[in-house]
Amino acid sequence: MSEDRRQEDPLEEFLDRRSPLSSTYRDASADRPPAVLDEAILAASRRAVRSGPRRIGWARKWGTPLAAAAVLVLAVAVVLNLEDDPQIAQFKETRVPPAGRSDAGAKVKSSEPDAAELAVGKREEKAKTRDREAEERSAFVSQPAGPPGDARYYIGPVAPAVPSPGKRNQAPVESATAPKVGAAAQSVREQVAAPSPVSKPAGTEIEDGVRSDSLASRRLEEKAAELDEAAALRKQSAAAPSAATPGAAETRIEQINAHYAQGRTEEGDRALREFCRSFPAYALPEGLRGHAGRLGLDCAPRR
Amino acid sequence: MLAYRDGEAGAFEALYARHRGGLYRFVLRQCGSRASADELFQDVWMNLIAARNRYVPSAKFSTFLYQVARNRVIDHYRALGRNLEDPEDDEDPLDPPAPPESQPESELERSETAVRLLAAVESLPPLQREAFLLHEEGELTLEEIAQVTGAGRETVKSRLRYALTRLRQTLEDLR
Repeated sequence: MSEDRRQEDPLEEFLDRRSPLSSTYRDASADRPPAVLDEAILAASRRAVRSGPRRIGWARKWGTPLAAAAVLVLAVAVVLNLEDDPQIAQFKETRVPPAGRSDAGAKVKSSEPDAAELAVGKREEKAKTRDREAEERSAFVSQPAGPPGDARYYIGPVAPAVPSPGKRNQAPVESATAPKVGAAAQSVREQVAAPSPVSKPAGTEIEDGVRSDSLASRRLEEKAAELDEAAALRKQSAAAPSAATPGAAETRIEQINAHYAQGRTEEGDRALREFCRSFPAYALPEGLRGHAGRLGLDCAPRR
Repeated sequence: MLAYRDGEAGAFEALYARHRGGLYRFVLRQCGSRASADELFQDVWMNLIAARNRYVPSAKFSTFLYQVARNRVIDHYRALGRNLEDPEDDEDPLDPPAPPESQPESELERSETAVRLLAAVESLPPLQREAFLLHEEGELTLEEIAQVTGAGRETVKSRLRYALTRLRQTLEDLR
């Protein structure tokens, strides 16, 4: 046992590199490879690095594809956000080309019902706000109801002098607003009929107050009439074939031609005027151009 | 080595500078001839350069390097019709080391102790010599030597013990 320990000790000493044998060996053994070998090996290592396939790190390998993917994701997210923005939708709506010019225009329009609905919804909301304001104003007779109370202005392009091309395809959507316009007119009429709290000052009758009361009532009646007219026009436009419907213009042209052929000139003129308002960019057939010129309509401007 | 694998030539130069002396002496003492040592040494490094793309760090680099060198030495032994891993070599050597007169002339210029010691190392049985050199030149631990040689830890310890006994005997004879 003790012999084993004595035998173990030099080994432990050697393994710890404290042995005199180790130091003697290190002093004695100083051989080095020849310089020629060094140069050959180092040159080969450099050559291999230059010519061999260079392995690149993870970051360098995946950095570019990852960056491209991130940019793509961001771009898609931004585009989707823009699509949802009602302002952008309204802007796009106004840029839609006229229906009569190309089929591509019709395709674009048919692919954008959501944007049109959004825009119409926004206008309806505005119209409701304006109606509410009009109601409030009617309560205070000293404040006259101004032009912003015009329902046609707020509700949408019911029958504008020259409707914008993008608005023509909204007829089916806007027809849903017609009852609301009628309801607004009814509410205005009820307000006119109902005694105003301001117009009946308690215990006193002031002549100016009575005069302003009657003036306000007249204005409210006028407003109710305008709202009725707007609702009627909406119903009419909803009933009429839409400009977005293929063949709608042709059908109306045929109707106009029938009016003129049967001698109903007044009806023909009225239908032609409406047609030119609805289809300002439509190229009229030869037979109707004369009537349009007689009526001073510039339905299909030639370039 | 990973840096060199990834294309840094400077990393290889640093590795080479650190291990060139020890590896060269390991090969030289194992094969006994400077010409063969030069050839084996160059082969080991060239193999390393060629296989750099397949290098996967599974152990310390020095362990890996000496394993490659050992395999090359075994091939050399086989080419000479000898067997490095002869079990009989594990036996305690009884023959004295070769006298200094049998060594090359250049070694005579060194001190007598150094020459005798080197001669004694070269005359050790191959497996004992291998264990001794892996510790002295490769600075490997018992476990690392066992890993390189594929032997058990106690076997390596035993080989080292035999080698030390013989070498110490040589040194004592000189006093």
